[in-house]
Amino acid sequence: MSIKIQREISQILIEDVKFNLDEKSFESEFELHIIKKRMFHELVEGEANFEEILEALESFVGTSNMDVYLIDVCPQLDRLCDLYGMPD
Amino acid sequence: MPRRRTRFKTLSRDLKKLQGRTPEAGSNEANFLDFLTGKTNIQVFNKVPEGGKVRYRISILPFALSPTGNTPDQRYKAAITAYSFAGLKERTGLTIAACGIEFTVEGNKENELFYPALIKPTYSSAATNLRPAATRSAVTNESYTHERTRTFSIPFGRTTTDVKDAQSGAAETNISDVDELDVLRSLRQELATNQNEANRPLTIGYEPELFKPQVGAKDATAEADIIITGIDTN
Repeated sequence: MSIKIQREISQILIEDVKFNLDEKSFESEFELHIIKKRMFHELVEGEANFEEILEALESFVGTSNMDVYLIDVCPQLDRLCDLYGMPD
Repeated sequence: MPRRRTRFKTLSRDLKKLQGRTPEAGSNEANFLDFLTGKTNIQVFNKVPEGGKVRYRISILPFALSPTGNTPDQRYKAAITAYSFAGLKERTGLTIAACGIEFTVEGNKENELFYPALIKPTYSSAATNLRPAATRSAVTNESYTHERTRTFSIPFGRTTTDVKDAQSGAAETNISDVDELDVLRSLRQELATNQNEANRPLTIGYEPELFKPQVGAKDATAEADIIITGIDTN
């Protein structure tokens, strides 16, 4: 998988951190973001397949259904599909 | 096997249920049919101007390597778009030195496997050429609100400019002691405390630095491991 696509997918699965005036809370959310990003890239670098990544992310974000989780980020998915075409 | 996903799954199912009958005018199914037959189209508003898409080479001192100093031969070439560079200069309040960016000089290394770490702040935008704040879906014609934003992807590398140690909080003075988290946290702090409130980001994202691993290469632990017999080099 190219790094560009890898980064697009991680952008969809791991959302950016919303700015928060509460510095402590913003900082801790950003630290979690860093951990998730690094974990995602380690999974990909470790040649895990997409199914394994999804399962690991499901347990990490605390959902048993990644499909439902992804519905929230559907607009970004659409953007990705527009950019790279639908997977077959 | 990757999971198969279908776009507009629910709308497609609802349309199939009609079994060829014409959907009621103004219904989601009728609007979706208009979309499928090309009567309505999704418009792309946030078009970066051609000049903004141009990628420029800059140089970065990678975190993955231990530098002996900040010399040109230890810096790697990376790219930034004119759009993101304009955002860095005009909106972020950051300096290029604080991002560890320098312009290319003789001796900088070229390595296509190197992908610099990125910090990606997103800002509110008042630009009128973006999607209107109150708009309608091209697929279902339902109204929705849209936040106009601009996101810049800014590469960063080792630097001692405005960087504090992530653990001790002390200013970093030795380039080899600086790590990715030190710079990332310093940049995040700088973005979040921008004196110009209009230029405080809505969101901040991050992508780690990567040296893409060589795929399909065999380990060579000794010269004899590399078999060169029968290879014509003339």
